[in-house]
Order: sequence, then C-alpha cells, then structure tokens
Amino acid sequence: MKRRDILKLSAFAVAGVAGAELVKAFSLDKYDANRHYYVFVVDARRCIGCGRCVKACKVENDVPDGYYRTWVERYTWLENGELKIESPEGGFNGFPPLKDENVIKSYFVPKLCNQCENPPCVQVCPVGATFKTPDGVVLVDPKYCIGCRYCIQACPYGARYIYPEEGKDTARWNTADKCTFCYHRLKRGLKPACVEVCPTKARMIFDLGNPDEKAKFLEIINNDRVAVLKPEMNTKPKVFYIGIDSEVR
Amino acid sequence: MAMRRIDATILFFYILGLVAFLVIRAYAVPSGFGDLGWFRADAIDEIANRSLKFSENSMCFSCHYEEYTIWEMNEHKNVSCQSCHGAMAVHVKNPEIKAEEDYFSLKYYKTDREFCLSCHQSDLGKPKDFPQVSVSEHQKVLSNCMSCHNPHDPI
Repeated sequence: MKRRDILKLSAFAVAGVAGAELVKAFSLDKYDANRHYYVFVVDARRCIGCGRCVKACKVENDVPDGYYRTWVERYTWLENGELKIESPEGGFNGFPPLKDENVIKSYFVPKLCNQCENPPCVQVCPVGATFKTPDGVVLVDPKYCIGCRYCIQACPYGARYIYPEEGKDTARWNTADKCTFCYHRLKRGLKPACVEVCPTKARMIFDLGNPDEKAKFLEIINNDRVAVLKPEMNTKPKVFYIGIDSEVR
Repeated sequence: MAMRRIDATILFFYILGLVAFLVIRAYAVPSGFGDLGWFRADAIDEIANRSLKFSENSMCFSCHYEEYTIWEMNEHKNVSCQSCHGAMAVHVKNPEIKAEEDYFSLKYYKTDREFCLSCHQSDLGKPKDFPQVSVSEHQKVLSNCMSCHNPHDPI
C-alpha cells in the first residue's frame, strides 16, 4: 500500500466521525433553545422582604438549610451616614421590622445568579462542567463537576455554593450549585418558582424570543432607571435592577 | 516523483493506532460532549427534566373555581395561589396530598396573625403604597385576622 492510500483511508475515517457528529447536531428537541433567551428584572421598589422567593427556591430546587440560590438583603441608611446591610437566614423568615428613628431610607434587594452573558465561572471551570446554554442560562453539570470550587471564587456575586451531603438531591452532592432560573420550569413553559410566588411582582422574567415579552422588557428598560450589579466586572449580567443605589453590589 | 514504499509492519501499527484512538475516544468522550461547546450537551436535558414542586395558577382553577371567582376580583388578585398555599405540583397530581413542604401556610407560621404579618407587618423598608399593619395600632384584642378579613377578599 502506498502512502497516498493510507492518507485516503485516514481521510475517510475522519469524514466518518465528522459525519456522525453532524447528524447528532441536527437532531433537534421539541423545545428549541435557540428560540428563547431569558432576562430577569428585579424591581427593588416593590420588594417587601417577605422571603417567599427564598422559601419557594428552597422547595423547588431542594436547596438545604443554610444555603441559598436566591436571598434577600435589606439596605438601611442611618442618619449618621452608616449603611447597614443585613440578610438574616437569607431573608427566609422575613425581616424584623425597623422601628429606628434614625433611619433615612431602607429597602430590600433580592439577589440571585446574574446568568452573566460573559460568565467568569464558565471561563475558570477546568472540566467543562459549567456552561452557558443557547437560551442564555448558566448551568452546572453535576456529573462532570469535580467540586474544585474555582467557580465559587470566580463569581463576583457570590451566587454559587457547594451542594452539601445533607441535601435531598444525592446526584448533586459535593458539586457546585447555583440558580438555574428554574431551567426545568422554563422548559415546560412555566415561570421560575420565585417569580411564581412573588406577591408584589418584584421579580419578573422575560423571554426575549417571545415578541410580547420582549416588548414588555423593553418598556421597562426604556422607561425606568435600570442598573446591573458590578458592571465594571464586564460580566454583562442578565438580571436588571430597578431602584437601587450604587452601594448595592 | 517516485513513490516511496512503506513497510507493512509500520502500516499495520499505524492503522491499529488509528482504530484504537477512535475506539477509546468513542468510549471516553460522553455523548453530547462538544455538541454545543466545551461541555456535555446532554446535561441540559438532564437538568431540564428535574421534577417540579410548584405548579401554576391555571392548574388550580379547574377544581377551585369558587375561590378563583372571589380571588380574581379582589385585592389579592396579583398574589399567586402558591404564595400562600405552598408548593402544589404534588396536589395537582394527587388531590389527596396537600402541599409538598409547608414553609408557606398556617402550619409553619403557627398563628394566622403571624402568617398575615409575614407580608403586612409595617416596616420602613417596604414601599409606601403597600398596605401595612402595625399590630399595636391596628388591633389589640383579637388575635385572629381572618375573623374580619377573608384572604381571598381581604378588604
């Protein structure tokens, strides 16, 4: 056999492998992730700090006590210029009422994973266990995660934690875990659990693939003063906040 | 240009190596890896197939239409059923079972006053237009909010 034949043979082998990958790439699911894109809006002016989102998230996603995929913080400015930030149990049981006379202003800020457009957690993952889906949600693959905690350090928002061995979902033990925008609900056409239970509609989610929802989102972006957390990190967060000060980060 | 001949043994090992590489690769690389990027694309479906705990308002009304007609006309109409009643996907599947894990309802809060106040306790951090109740001012004698207020029609 000549060298040319060997080259031909290996060319066929490569073409075969590439062909099989192509066939896989074109077999589509019912839910087409390329036709959806999710953004989240938190209206901090409406939040009453009841903690229902924290509870709902815990139940929906089997988040163990003491760990949070979403939590609520209360920012309080006192007359002496001091800023008090508190989040007792992540706001799970609400907040003790403020009766202080020295309060200038106070409000609640729900926090969650910002599902960054440019996610640092995905960049640092050494095994490809965390990734961004075509519909813009950052997920963790518990089968591939080795629990090295790089992503937890990389996240500027503190949105990630290691799922402990006391959690109900044994598949996720000792792997990184975080808010998924309730991806299992989105795919079924439902809203995330926190959005579903929020009594004042302070939490909103919009699918930019849906023209009506996109119009509603643009109405908010165009008419309200909107901010993202830590824009200087160039993470391009997809959680937009209405009515927060620059001290909220 | 004259073709160089290749030794049959070298050729054999070359092909063997190629086959071995393709076989090992087929086993070592999990299905879906690299389809959409440097990750296992199958994980997306695995995560998307996790079970639901919360359902949706529309699932409640096929049975609880009486509550619905009161609720949808009154002040609490923007508050989802499950904001107060808890995670109900289990209940939708099997009506005999109530809520999955009751962090929401009266059982968790012990008294219904505590339950109502989890939202309506007056607090400086809450929006000014949100209806808030200072317990000391509102009512001292009765402990039961629901003797005057129906949660589905609160005013």
